[in-house]
Amino acid sequence: MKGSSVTNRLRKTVVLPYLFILPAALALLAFSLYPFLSGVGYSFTSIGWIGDQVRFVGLENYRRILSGSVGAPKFFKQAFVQSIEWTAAVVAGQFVVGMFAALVLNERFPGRSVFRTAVLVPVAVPTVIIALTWQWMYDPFYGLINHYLKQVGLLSGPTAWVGQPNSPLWPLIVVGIWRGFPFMTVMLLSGLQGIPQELYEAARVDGANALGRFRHITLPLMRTIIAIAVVLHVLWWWNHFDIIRVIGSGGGQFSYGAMTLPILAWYEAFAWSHLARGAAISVISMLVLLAIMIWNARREGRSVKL
Amino acid sequence: MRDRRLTRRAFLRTGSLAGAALLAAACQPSPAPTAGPTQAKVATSVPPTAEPSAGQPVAIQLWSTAWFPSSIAGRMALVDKFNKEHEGRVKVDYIQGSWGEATTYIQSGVAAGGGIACVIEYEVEGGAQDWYRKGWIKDLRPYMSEEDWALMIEAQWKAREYPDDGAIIANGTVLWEPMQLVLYNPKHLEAASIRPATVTEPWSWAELIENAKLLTLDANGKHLGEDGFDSKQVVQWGFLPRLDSEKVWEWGLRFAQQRMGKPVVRQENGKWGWNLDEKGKQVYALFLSIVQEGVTPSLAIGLSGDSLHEAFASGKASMILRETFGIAIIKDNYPDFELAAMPTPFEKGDKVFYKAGGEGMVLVSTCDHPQEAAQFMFWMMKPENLALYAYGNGMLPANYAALDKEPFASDPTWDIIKDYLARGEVYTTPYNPHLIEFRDTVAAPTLMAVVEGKMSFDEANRVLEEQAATLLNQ
Repeated sequence: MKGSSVTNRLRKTVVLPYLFILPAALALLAFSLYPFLSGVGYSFTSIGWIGDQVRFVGLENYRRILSGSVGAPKFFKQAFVQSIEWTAAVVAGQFVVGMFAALVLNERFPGRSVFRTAVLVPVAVPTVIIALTWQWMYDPFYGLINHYLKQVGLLSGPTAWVGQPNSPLWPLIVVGIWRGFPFMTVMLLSGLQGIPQELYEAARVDGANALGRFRHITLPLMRTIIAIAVVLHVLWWWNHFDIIRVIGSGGGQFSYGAMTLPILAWYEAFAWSHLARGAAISVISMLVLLAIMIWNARREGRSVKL
Repeated sequence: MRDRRLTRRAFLRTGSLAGAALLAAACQPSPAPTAGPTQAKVATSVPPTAEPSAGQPVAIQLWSTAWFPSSIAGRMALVDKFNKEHEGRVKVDYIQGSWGEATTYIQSGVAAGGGIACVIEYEVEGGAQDWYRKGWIKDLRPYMSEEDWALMIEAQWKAREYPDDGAIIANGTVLWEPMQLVLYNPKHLEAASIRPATVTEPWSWAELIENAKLLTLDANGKHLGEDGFDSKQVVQWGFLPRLDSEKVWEWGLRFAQQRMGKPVVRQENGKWGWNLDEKGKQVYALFLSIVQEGVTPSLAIGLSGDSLHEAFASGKASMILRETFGIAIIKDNYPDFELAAMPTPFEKGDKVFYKAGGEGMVLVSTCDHPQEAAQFMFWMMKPENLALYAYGNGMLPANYAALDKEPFASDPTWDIIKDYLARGEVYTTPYNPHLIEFRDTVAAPTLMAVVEGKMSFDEANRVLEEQAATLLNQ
């Protein structure tokens, strides 16, 4: 019958695709959207811990975080500045090292495939294992870093680089660069491989040296892939948690010298039992990323129009 | 020719049939195991049921937070002893857990409705109290006899009581006070002709500082304070405590409270606050001044426990400040190193006040065999059993009578602790849910600023008084 075949076709073309994506959509709702929205919702309530009576407090948590002087609010400004320092230094370092590695790996030399695999080692090892290994390397007494610095005369005695309340961020930045540069390398290498060799040959004929070829061919043609790689890394590393938590807070101490917004949010929510204020810090942290994402989307939009 | 391609309809039909068949297969009861050599292995891996079959012992599990070899060995020896004594009735299985995972373990286990160990080791204050508040553990009172109550002094039970309903939330395993010692290298003290402190002839903080100066040597063998001493070429430090944010709080409070006889953070007139009296201020200020006074290297700011032991055992430090368990760890890691212990500084004739509380075992609310689990928990508190546990852990047993049992009885290192107890007086500290936040965000940074010489102690004390009034009364 004509009517039932129309219904069947409708079911196939309209309903069936939705049925297929339903499990993924449900999982996304349950494990991504719901926690996100409930987190935002919590930031407007008085909840301290699970089981507490919850009431709506409007923007009170935000006011307290931005203008308070005791508890987590006392460290908010510092954490915010350190988040910017951490992200900028780590991503810049990853870009420089990643670009250098990509340029080298783009050349033809014996054993290139082995090196291309080896460069991915930092990504293949679980972050916590990396963090614990670096923690050991930074140890003042039996760490390799102190040992070799003493041997070359740069240190006179043992130095504790990390894990103290006022330890600086830069030893962690080194780990972050080491951890993240391989992915940057892979992205940039894919961009490099997309540049036609003829352009380099033509430039060579015109007398351009290596730096000139890099400046006038490589960089302009890789603008889009560089922008994507940098924005993605900014998003990931702004939110990074494990390296800072494991190495920076050695022994479970609250280390304000090496603290970023995600770490402060975690302490506020789970160590000091202020879930709502922890959620508010996370929301503020997310707004920064949202601004970057909007800027990137507009920039992409403009480049497409051009 | 017939088109043999797989149509979408056929693919979906086949897929659905295969899925249904798999589902049906999965719902089938599993076949009875066939008799054979693997059967015994299969049976042991089956988790215990709520109603064990006749003749089978009730199986319970202990989730242990033991973290170094001798502490693990002590627990295992205890479990073996219990299993032998209760053969055929109750059997305890030892599971190795860790401090860092304990909260996640119990939280997820209780949320899942069970399947986790019945007995978990943890800290009482802050930790187990919080677990009880969240309904993860049971009140032990229904399982306790008069004999069980007598296994620990009243103040230690009080420290394990939940304030709202008087529930006993944990048994007592080891205590956190008094177990602070100065561990020293006897050869270094002998070479410098220094007589170590004893409980009857203690050192004051000033004496400790003076002796530490004599023990701090440069590469030319000159000591701190001597003409020509090169502070950049120190090869042996006199006194090396850990001075991180954890220790300036924990140890500083301990020394101050030891003199004051009451908690520094407490309620007065219904308001929580930071309350140091003159004696407490004096001790706290002295303890935090050692780096600025030049008796302790700035390296102490930021030293880990392992690094401290390494420095001590390798002869780079003559005296270190450590809890009793440090002895067991150092002996485990450096079996050939000779060390000795003396009391921490205090004024001669003063009483040694110490805080009740420490660690214990909790009974998980989802436990299928709470009676048997509680039986194990109180059995292990008997002096002869607890001695095995606490000595392996290098910590003071919650039941003091265990100190008279082996291996404590024949170890002279513990004489200092026995002396402390003989002249000590115990006090309890109240529970404030914001104490950790106060410690992390106010006390630790402020006290560290004093250690680093960026703030005077009086100024720090003023800051702590002001901010405690806000933060602890949220």
